[in-house]
Amino acid sequence: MLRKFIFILIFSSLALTPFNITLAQGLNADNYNSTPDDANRITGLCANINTLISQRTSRFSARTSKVTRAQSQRAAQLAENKSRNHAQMQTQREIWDENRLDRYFQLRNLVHNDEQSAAIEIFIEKIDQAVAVRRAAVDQAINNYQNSLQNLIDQRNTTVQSAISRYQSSISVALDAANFDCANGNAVSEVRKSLADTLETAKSALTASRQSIDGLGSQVTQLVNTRRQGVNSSIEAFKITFLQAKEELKAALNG
Amino acid sequence: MTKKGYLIITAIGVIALISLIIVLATGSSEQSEKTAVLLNTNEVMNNPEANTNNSNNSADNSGENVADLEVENLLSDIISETTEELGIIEQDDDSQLINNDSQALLEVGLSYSDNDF
Repeated sequence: MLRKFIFILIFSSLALTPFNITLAQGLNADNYNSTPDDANRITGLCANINTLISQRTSRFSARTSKVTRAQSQRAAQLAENKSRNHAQMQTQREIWDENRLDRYFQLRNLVHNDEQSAAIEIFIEKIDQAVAVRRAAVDQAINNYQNSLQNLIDQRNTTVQSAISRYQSSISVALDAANFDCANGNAVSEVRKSLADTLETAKSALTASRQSIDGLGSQVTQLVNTRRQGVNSSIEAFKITFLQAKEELKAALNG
Repeated sequence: MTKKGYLIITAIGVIALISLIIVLATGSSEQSEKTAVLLNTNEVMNNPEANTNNSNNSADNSGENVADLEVENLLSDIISETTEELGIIEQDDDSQLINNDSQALLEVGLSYSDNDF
């Protein structure tokens, strides 16, 4: 009877061995509070931290270069727009000047006496002066806009660079700490949690900086509105002068 | 003379009568016009000063219209400069361009993802 009991006990133990091993592994994993994959990754954190830091730092550098490239492209595009607009404006002003001279010539053909001739010359002088005043005001509005826009861009570039520097600094401190903790044999789970918290904080700070400077688009819109108001004011002043001169001219020609 | 002969003669007579009426009416109209021209000529000869004044008034009105038209044309040409001027100034939208580095900056913030460690 005893021999039979011992046989059953030994047989049962052997039969349940795989199950016991699995159960033990499960309990062990629960202690890490993570899946087996996570456990391997956490264990790998300290083993490969220098490689991981090197890889991520390279990625960071590449992405920072992308920001710099975007800023350079923006500067080039703005310079191209400015140059093109200036050239177009100069070309059109020459065309408008020639057209105005042609109109002056036609007006002079309407003259029947010296008084009308004098009235024509006064009219021409007033118009030329009004055009010059308007163009100076338009140029001033354009210059003010471009200077203010450049200030905004400089401000944005500085803010972006500062945000990246702060991010880089936070990351660097966190990685050094993780490296130090790993070298001192601290619990890998704690090392990882501390690193994750710092990374999240750094990312949030960078996101906040990015959101704050993305509002500059509305400030550019305000600058555009200010420029438009300046240009429109000069145009309205020009129209008033022109209409007045025209009525005086008509009166002289019809007198 | 047969009945048919009477009818033919009557028809010819009616046609001749109508033709005569038309000729007389046309001649009367032409005569009226000639008379009017003669009357007008006589009036001009009798009152040359009045005719000169009318001609001067006509010339003045014509001159006023031409001058106004030329000035208005000049106005439209020169005023249209201002619209084109504003179009050149506002052809670019810099409000979009200023944020062109935003996406790249977002990616920088993901350089050190906590999932990597």
